[in-house]
Amino acid sequence: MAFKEEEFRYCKDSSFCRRQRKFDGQDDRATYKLHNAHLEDNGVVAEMKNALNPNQPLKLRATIYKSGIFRIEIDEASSAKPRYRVKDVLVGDISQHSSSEGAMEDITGENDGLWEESFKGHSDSKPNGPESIGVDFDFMGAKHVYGLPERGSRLMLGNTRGEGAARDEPYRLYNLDVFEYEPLYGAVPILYSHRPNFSSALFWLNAAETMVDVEDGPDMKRTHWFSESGVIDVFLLSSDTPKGVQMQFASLVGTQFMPPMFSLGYHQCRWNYKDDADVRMVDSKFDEYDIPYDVLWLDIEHTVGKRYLTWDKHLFPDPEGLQHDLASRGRKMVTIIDPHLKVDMGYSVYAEAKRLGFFCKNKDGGDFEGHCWPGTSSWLDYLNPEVRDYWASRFLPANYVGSTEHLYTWNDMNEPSVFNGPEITMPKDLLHYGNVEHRDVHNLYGFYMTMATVAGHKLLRPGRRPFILSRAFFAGSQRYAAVWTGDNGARWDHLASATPMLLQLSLGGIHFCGADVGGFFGNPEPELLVRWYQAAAYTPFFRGHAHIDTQRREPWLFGDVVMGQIRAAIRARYLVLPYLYTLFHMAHTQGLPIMRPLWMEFPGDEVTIAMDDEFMLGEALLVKPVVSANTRSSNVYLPSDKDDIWYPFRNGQTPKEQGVFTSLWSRFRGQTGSLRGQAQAGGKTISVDSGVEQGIPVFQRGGTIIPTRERARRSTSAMRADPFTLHVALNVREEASGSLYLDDGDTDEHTAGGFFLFGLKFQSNQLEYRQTEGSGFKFSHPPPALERVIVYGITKQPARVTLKRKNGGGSELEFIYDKESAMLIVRKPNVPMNEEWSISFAK
Amino acid sequence: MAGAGRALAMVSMLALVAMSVQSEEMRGVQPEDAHLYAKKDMFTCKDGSSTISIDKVNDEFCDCNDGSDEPGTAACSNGVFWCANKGWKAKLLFSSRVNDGVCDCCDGSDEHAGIVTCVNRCQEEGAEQRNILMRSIQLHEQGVAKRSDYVARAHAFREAVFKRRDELGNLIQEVSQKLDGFQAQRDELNKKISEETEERLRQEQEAREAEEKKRAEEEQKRAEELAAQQAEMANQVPSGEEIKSSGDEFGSPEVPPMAPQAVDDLGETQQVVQEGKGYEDPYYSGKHVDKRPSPTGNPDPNTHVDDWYSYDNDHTDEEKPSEDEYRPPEEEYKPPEERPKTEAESESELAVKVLEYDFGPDMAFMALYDKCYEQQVQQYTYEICMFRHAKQKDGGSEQNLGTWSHWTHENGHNSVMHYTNGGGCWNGPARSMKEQQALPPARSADILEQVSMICGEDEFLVSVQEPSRCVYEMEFMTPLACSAHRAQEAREQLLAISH
Repeated sequence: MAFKEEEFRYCKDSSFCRRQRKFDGQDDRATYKLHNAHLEDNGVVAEMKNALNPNQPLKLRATIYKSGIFRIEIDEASSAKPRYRVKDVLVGDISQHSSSEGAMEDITGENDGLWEESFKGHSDSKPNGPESIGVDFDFMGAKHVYGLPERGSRLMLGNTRGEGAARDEPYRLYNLDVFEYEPLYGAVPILYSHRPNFSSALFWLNAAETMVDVEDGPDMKRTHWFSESGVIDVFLLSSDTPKGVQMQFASLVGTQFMPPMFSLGYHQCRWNYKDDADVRMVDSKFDEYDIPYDVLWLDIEHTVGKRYLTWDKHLFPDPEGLQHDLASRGRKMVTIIDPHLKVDMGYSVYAEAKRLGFFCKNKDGGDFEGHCWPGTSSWLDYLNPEVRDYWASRFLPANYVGSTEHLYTWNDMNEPSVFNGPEITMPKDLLHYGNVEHRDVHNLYGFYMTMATVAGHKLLRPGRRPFILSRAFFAGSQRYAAVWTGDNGARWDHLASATPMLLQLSLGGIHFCGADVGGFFGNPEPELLVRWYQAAAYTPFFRGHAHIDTQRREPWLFGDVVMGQIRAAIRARYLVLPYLYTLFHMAHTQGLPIMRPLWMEFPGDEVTIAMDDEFMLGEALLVKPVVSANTRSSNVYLPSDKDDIWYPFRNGQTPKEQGVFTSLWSRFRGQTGSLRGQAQAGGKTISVDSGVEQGIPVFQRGGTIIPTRERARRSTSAMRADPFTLHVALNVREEASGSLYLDDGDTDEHTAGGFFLFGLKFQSNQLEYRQTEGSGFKFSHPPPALERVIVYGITKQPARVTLKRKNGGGSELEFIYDKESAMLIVRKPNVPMNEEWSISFAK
Repeated sequence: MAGAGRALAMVSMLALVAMSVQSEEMRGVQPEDAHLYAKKDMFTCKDGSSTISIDKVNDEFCDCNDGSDEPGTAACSNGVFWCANKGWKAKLLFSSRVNDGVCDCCDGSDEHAGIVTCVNRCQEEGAEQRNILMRSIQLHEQGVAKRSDYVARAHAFREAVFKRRDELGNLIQEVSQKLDGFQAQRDELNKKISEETEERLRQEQEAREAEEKKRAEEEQKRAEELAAQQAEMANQVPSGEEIKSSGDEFGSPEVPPMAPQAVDDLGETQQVVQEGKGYEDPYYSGKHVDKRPSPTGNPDPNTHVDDWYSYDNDHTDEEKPSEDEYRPPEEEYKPPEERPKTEAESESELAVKVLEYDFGPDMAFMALYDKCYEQQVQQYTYEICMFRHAKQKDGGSEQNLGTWSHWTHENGHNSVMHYTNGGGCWNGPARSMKEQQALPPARSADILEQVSMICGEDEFLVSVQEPSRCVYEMEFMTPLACSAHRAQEAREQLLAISH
C-alpha cells in the first residue's frame, strides 16, 4: 500500500538501525558469556562479558515472572547516567529495579551519527551518545509470526531479511501521524508465533524507537530486536494454546477496560457536524429512518479556533441543552480533545499550564512549541503526574464550560502529531518530566495522555465508566481507551485491510478497536459503504467518520434501498450486543480478545495459521467481510478442530427477517437461502451467497449459545428492558454452551461484584441457565425476560418443552419444530433473566 | 413442512388482566383498523398471512409477518403504534419507540411497561401546535393572495421584454442602416482621396522640372488639409445621444415602471427581521439587496448584456425615476466602432431565452427575475440573484456558486432551485498536508447549489448551509412558496386537534 514515503525515515536514514543491522552475529568476540551466576530472589543474576568490550560488563537478570512467563533483563553493570526503564505499563509489577549505568552499545570507532544526526533538516543532538540495544530470538518450529501493531500489513508478518524476503525494511515501532500504514499511530512490541499445541510470544518492554527483523531459519523464525535506547527487558510467554498466551500477556499489561454499554452501539462522526442545528438534524434523521445510533461526535471545528475544551458559541450557543436533548433519547456526545494547546495567554487551559511549567521542554529547557491545527502550540507533558492531575481537572464542568455528564472524549493527534517536527512528531532530544529524553518515551506519549483523560472522566462522573477513543497507543493502552485505525480511505483495499489490522491490534491487547466506516478520505460508492457497515457491525468499535472535504454520507442520503441495507447492518450490530457485551466482560476479566484470528479458536487447524480475511467474534461467530465490488457469493473457510459444524447466523439483513412466529421459516432463513438451521461441516471451504442485499457471511459454531436482543430500537439505552433470545447451536453431540453477562452498563459497581454472569449449557436435552459469578445488581426497570429460544441441529422432535423455575414453579412451553432443518423455536418462556431456570426438551 | 407445535392453555394471571384491559380498546391500534381486532377468539394478521388466537395479540411476542399482532408492543420490529394524544393529534410511531424509556407520545401511551413514567403533555403541545398551525394557515393564505400581484408583475415584465426585444430589433436595423450609410460615405471619401492623390502624382510628374521644391511644399499642405477633412467626416458617425433620440421615434427604450404593488421593499424586509420569526440572530444578519447597476454605468462585464432585464419594481409610481435609480440607456451605448453589432442581437436572443424559463405554471416567479438577496454567514456574504446566479463573497474575492439551471418540483409546485456550473470545488484548508494520497474521484467534484422555497410574507434569504464542502443549501422565503393546499392541510390538522 502507498504511504507518504518522503516523510518517513528508512533504516538507512537512522544511525542505530544501520549499526544494529550490520551486526550479523558471526563475530565470536561479540558473544557474551555469563559470569558469577547466582540465585537471587526468584531468579538468576549474572554478569555478562564479551571479548569486544571486556571492561563494559552487563548485568543479566532472569526470572520466572509469573506463571509461564520468563523475564530477561539486561542493563549495564554501571554507568554515569541510568538508562530509562518503562514505567506504568506493567500491572502489579513485582520487580522494578533501580537502573545501572553507561552505554551498552558497542562503538567500533566509526562516527556514524553516534552523537548527532539529522533527517530532513531536523537535527537530533543525542546528548547521551549512542545507546541502542539489540537481541536475537528464535521461534522454533514457527511458520508464521504475528503481532507488532500498528501497521497496514497482513496479519502474518513477512520476512525482512534473507532470501525472498517480503520487504527490506525491519518492522518499525514508532508512533507517527505520517498518514498511511507503516509505522502507524501506535505500538505494542509483542510478537506471537503459533503451531498446533504450542503458542509463544515475546514482549519487548521498551518505548523508544524499536525495530524488528524477521527471517527464516531452519524450521524456525529468527527475529532480531533493537531499540534506540533504554534497557533490554524481555518477557517470554508460552502456553499450549494461543488463548493461554493472550491471558499471560494480559497479566503483564492489564486487560481491556469495561466499556459503558452505549459505547458498543453505533457512533456517528464527521469532520464536522457544523452547528447545533446540524447535530439536531442528524440526530432526528436517525429517528426518522428508525436507524439505531448511540453517540454523535464533534471534530475540531466545534471549538473556538481549535482551543480544546471550549465551544464556539456561534455554532453551539447551548451545548448543555444540546447534550441534554440527545440524552433524553438515551444518546451521548463525544468531543475531540487533542494534546496540542494553542499558544495564547487568553486561553486558560494553555495559560495556566504555561504558568505551572507543564509543557514538554526543548533540549535547552524552554517550552517546546510546534505547529498543529490551532497554529503555534505547546504540548502538555503527560508523563508528569501533576500534569495528569491538572489535565483531569480540566474536565470538570466548571473548567470545561458547556460539558455535561453526557459528554465523552476523543483524544486524537497524540502520537504526538507535530506538523513541523521530524516525521511529523516531536524531536527526540526534547525533554520530559524527570529530565527524560523524548527518545526514551516517544511511544508512551499517547498512553499517558489517555491515562490523564480517564482521570478527568472519573472526576466528572465519579463511580461511572469513562469512554475515550485514542489514536496513539502503547502496550496497556486498553486499560484507558478504545483505539481506531486512523485515517483510512474510501477504498475497497482499505476495507480489506481493516480485518488484519484489527486482528493485529487485538493480539496486541488493544481489544476495543475499529476502523472508520466508509473510509475517512474520499467518497465511498454506496456499495462500498454498505459493505463497510456490514463488516464493521461485527468489529468491537463501530463508528462512521468522514473527512471535511467529502460529501455527506449519512445512511439516508443514498436512497431507500441503500438506507435499508445500512439500517439492517446497524440493527444486526444491536442484535448481537448481549453477546458482544459478554465478550467485553471476558476481555476485561481474562484478557481474551473480542476479535480473534481463526487460529486462536482452532489452534489445531493448520489451514487457519495463514488466514486473515475471516475472523472470529468471540468463540461463536465467524465473520467473512466482503471486500470487493459486485460480489454475489463468497468462499468461506469453515474451520474445524474436531468434528466442528457451522450454522449460518441470522444477520437481520432482509426485511423478511423482521418477525413472525407462525411463518417463522421465512424468517429464519440464512444468507444461503437454505434454512437457518441447516448445518455445514467444518474443515472445508464453501461458497455462500453474499449479495449486498443479503449481507456478509456470518456463521455460528456448533456447540455455542449466543444471547441476542431481537427488537429494533433506537439506541442501546432503549434496549435496556428488552427481552432476550438464545441461539443454541448444537454440535455433533447435540451439546452447546455459552454465557450471558449482565450489569447496569454504566457504573463501576461491576468491579465490586455488581453483575450477573450466567452460564448456559445444553446437554442431554436440557438447557440450563445457572449463575456462575457475580452478586447481582438491581434493575431500574422490570428485569428483562426470555423471549425465545432457538435450537439448531436438534434431530428429534421433543414431546414437550417444559420450563422449570428456581422457585419450583414451571410451565409447559409452546414450541415449533422443523424436522428438515432440525430447528426448534420455543415461544416466550417469559422467565426473568436475573434468575436461574432450566428448560427440558423431553423425548 | 412445519412440525406440529403443541399449544397449551397456559394462561397466567397476568395474561388475564392484560386481556381484560385490551378488550376495551386494543392498545396501539389505529381507529380504522379497530374492526380487525374485534373478534372474540381469533385474529387474522393484517396481511392475511396467518390466523392466531386473540390472546396472542399484544402479548409481547411477534407472530405476524407484518407485525400487526403487536400493535401495542415493540415485539415486532416492523410494527406501528398508534397513540390518540387527545388534546393534540394522533400519531403513528415505529414500534421501536414503544416501551423504550422515552416518552414519544404526548399522552405517554407508548410507555406502559414501567420503564419510565410519562406526563401527559398533549394540552400544552396542542396549544403550541395550534398557534403554529394558525400562523401557518395565515402565512399560506396571505401568500396565495399576493400571488396575483406577482402574476401581474410577471405579465408586465414579460410585455416589457417583448417590447424591448422588438425595440432591439428596430435598433439593430436602424444602427446597421446608419452604419451602412456612413460606410458608403466613407468609401466615397476614400475613393475621392485616392483619385486626388493619383491626380496629384500625375501633375507632379508633368511639372517635375519646373518648381519641384515649391510643389512639394504645396502638396504637403494639401495633404494636411485632406487629413483634417477626413477626420471631420468620421466624427459625423452618430453619438449615443443621437441613437437615443432616434430610438425615441420607435418608443421609449426603458422598461416601463410597474404598478405600486411591491411587497418586498427594503423596509418591509427589515420589519420581517424585527418581527422575529426566529431570524433575529445577529450572527445571520439577513439583508435584502436591490441589485442595480451603479448610476455611473460601468456594469459588470459578465452581466452587462442581461442587466437590461433588471426589473426595477421599486418604482411604485408613474413619475419619472430619479437619477440615481434610473440608468439612462444611452450611457450603456458605446460608439459603434467599439461595440460589435452582435451584442444587441445576443441581448435579443437572451430575451427570448429568459421567456422560456420555468417561472411556474402562472409565470409568477418571473416577477423575481434577477432580484438579488444576501445573507451574511461568518465572514462570507452569500448572494442569490434569482434565475441568474449564486455567489459567495469573502472580502474582495468572489466565488461563483453556480448559474441558473432548473427547478425541482414537489406536488406540482416549484420547490427547489438548482444552480450549476459553479466550477470545480476548490481545496479546503489546513489538512491538505494529509491529502496527498490518490483517492477515487468524488461523486461530484463540482460545486452544488440549491435553494429551497419556503412560504413567508416576503422575499428573504433565510439561511445558507454548507453541509459538506462545496455543497450549498439555501432556504429562500417568498409568498410564492405558499399554497392553498398547504393552508388546507394545516386547517385539517387544526380541526383534528380541536376534535
